[in-house]
Amino acid sequence: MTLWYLARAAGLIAFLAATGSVVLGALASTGHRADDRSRDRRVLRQLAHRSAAVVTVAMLGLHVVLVVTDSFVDLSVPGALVPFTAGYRGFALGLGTLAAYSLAAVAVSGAARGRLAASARSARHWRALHASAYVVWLLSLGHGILAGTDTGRWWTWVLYAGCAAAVAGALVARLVVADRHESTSPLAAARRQLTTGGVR
Amino acid sequence: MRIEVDWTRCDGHGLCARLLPEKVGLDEWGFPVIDTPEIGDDLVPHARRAVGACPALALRLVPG
Amino acid sequence: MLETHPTVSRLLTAPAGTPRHRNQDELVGLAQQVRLLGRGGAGFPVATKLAAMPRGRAVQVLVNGSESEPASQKDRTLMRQAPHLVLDGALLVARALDTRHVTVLVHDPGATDALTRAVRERSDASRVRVVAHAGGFVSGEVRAAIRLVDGAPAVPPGRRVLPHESGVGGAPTFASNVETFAQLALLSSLGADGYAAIGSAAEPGTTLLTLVGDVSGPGVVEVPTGLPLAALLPGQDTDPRPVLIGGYHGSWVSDIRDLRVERPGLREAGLPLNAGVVARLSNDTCALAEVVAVSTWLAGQSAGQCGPCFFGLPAVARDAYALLHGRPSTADLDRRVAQLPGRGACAHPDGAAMFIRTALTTMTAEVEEHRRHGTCGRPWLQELPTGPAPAVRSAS
Ligand code: SF4
Ligand code: SF4
Repeated sequence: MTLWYLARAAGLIAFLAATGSVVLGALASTGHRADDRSRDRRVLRQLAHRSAAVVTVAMLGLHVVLVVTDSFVDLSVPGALVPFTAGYRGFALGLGTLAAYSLAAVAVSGAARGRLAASARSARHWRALHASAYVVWLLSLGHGILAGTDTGRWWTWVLYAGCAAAVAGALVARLVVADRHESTSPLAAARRQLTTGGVR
Repeated sequence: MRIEVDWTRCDGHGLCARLLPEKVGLDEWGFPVIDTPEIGDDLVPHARRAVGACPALALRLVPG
Repeated sequence: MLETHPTVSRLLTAPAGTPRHRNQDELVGLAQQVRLLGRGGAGFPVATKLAAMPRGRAVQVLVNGSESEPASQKDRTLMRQAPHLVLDGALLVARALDTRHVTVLVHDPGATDALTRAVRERSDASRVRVVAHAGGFVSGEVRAAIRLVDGAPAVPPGRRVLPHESGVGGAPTFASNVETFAQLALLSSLGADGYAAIGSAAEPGTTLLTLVGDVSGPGVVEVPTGLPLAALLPGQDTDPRPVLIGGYHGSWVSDIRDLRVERPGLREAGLPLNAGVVARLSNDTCALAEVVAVSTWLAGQSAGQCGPCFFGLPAVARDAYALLHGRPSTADLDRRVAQLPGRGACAHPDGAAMFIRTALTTMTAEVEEHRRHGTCGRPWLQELPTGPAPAVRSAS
């Protein structure tokens, strides 16, 4: 029974850390002000983004190991590895399995970021791959709501709603800032002209 | 090792200058000024951090 | 006027026709024997470039005739007057590399017509593609030219790619300036000894130049290499004035007494000949205004890819304009010019910096006059062209 509590706690912390990492990641490319203090804030935001990501991965690993080894619910190793084959809350656990796999891909892409900067094309692919973190977050939200033992208690709803608001807010901020930057930065405008037929 | 900027991608965010001030200065528009791109062994970890921090994926550490 | 300097007419009047076949090794050997250098900007040894090429049907040959510098006329003159010789050279290279893919990139409408007509006139050029474009200065840079031919924006890529590894359509590409191809055709028909019968030892043969401003006969000339530069600039010893060598990416120099028209020697002196523009201003025009006009033009040619070039060149042009109108300090200008080199995806900022920096250091008297009085009293006569290129003057 103790393991079961630990497993739930690890899962919850993983979700909270994932939320933090997604929010910080979305905000990573906001703040185009050209003074050293805002540059330093961006560096710190990046650092926090990465740290939260590391916590997410670690807690998720713990969560998976504990859930499989615990005897309170009967979850086999193949049931955990292959999505939607677990006997206990099959659909909800399937979401969790998918989330874990996509998180692995996102984490690997994050770790290999420097190496993937080699060409313009791979940099574009990198962005697309890494942006699947938003999908990971949605999957884990679904997994948490559907599989969570505590779902239904008032504090879980406050928590999920709060996290969802934070992610949505950060995403909007990112899009707005990117848009404003595109329209106010002359270099961004010139580059866009180059790629959208301003050839001659 | 040598640090290289892909100028077609650099947005002038200037983060690299905060993480590798020994090598990277900034011009009046926030774009890096690198007088000697060669990175000594002692600075390689810092250079890697700068490469990792560049929001535009514009920096690269290359051998030589 | 033309009698006053020792021009030759070898390239522009050479007989053309289907060239005899040379294999890659023969062609490399010939180019090596006469130390043939590329006639575009960089002056790279042709033999080295050719030897690095793989052979086969996928290989591409790109003839760069985009000549986008308004002061230069030599490529369009060559294509208009000797289109068959250019095609000879291109087909010679293509055959040596076992390919039939030849693309000629042209900017000038007259040259486009001449080449298109020449392609139709011969039976061995059915696969030659003539691509006309209206791009700016930077689009003449070889990697930008490759992207232009591929239908991409005509700007250089951010990472270094070598055309002989990945050029047109991603295929290995032998790319060079039109004059290089014409010289190769001539070299193949004359043989190494015949080709080297004139010119200097370091770079035998002839070269095309475009003479601009107060020179002996402005326009395109063909001269034997090794010719003293002074032969093209009468009166330079009694009335020494800054001479521009290498066009708008080139340098101004006052003392030309030891200089000869020869790429290796000029490069050693730190004065790359680039595409072969040599200019000298008359005493009637405001030299600083000419320099400011070219600086402004150069700023407008930044492709807008790279921040330091996109922001730096216009700032430098504004500083130069302020100096023209009497700003006493050149500190901002000097600092901004010094920051340009090496900070772009192509050599445009480097070339522009070279042009402006050497202008300021050679035109000290003019600069001083403008700093003091805001004018030198002379009008701006636009001796250095910056607009659409003026009508071509024939070389012969
Ligand atoms: S961090 Fe990257 S984008 Fe920012 S100035 Fe440095 S190289 Fe350019
Ligand atoms: S250096 Fe200037 S001209 Fe060259 S690609 Fe960059 S922006 Fe364009």
